[in-house]
Amino acid sequence: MGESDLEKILKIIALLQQGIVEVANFIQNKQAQGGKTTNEIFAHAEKANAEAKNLIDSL
Amino acid sequence: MQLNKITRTKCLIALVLVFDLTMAAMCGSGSDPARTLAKATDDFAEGQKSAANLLLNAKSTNLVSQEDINEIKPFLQEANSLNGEAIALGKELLANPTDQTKKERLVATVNLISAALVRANNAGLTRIRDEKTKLAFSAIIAALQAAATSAIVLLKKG
Repeated sequence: MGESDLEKILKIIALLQQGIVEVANFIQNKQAQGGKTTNEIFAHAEKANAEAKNLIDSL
Repeated sequence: MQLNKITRTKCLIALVLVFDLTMAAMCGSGSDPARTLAKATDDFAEGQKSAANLLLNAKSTNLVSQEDINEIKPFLQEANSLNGEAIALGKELLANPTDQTKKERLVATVNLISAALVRANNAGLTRIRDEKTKLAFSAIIAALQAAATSAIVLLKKG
C-alpha cells in the first residue's frame, strides 16, 4: 500500500521543522561560544562530541 | 531535477548552515587561532548531532532503512572519533602553542576527518533514496567539510 499525499506532506513538514530547529540550535550555540573562554569551548566541544557519539551509535 | 518549494526551503536552510559554519570559521581566524579551532571542533560536534538527528528522524518515518544506515554509520563514527582526537590535540596545543609536532598531528587528524566525511557523503548519496533527505544529509556533510577545511587553512597559516 503506497503512502498518501497527506503522509508525504507530513513527512516533509517534519523534516523542515527539524531543519529549522537545527539551525536555531546552531545559532544559539554560536551565541553561547561568544561568552566562553577557549578552554570552556573545548569542554563544550567534548560534551557535544560525546552526545553526537551516543546519537550516531544509536542509529 | 525540478525541486518543489518545500525542498528549496529545506536546501536554503541547509545552505544557511553551511554559510554560518564557514563564516564563523573564517571570521575569527585572524584574532585567536586556538579559539577559532575550539569553535570549529564544537561546530563540528553540533553538526554531527544534526546529521545523526536527520538520519534518526528519517529512520523513524521509514525514509531510510536500517540497512542503508548501516552503510553510512561507520564513517560518521570514524569522523566522530577523530573529532574527539582533534579536541584533545587542540587542548594540548592551547597549552603549548609552539609545539609543531602536535600541530602536524592535528592537521593529519583533520585531513582524516575530511576523508571520512567524503566516504559518509558517498554512502549517503548511494543509500538514501528519498531526495529531500539525501539533499539535507549532503548539505550537513558539506557544512562539516567547511568546518574541517577552515580548520586546516587556519592550522597551515598559524
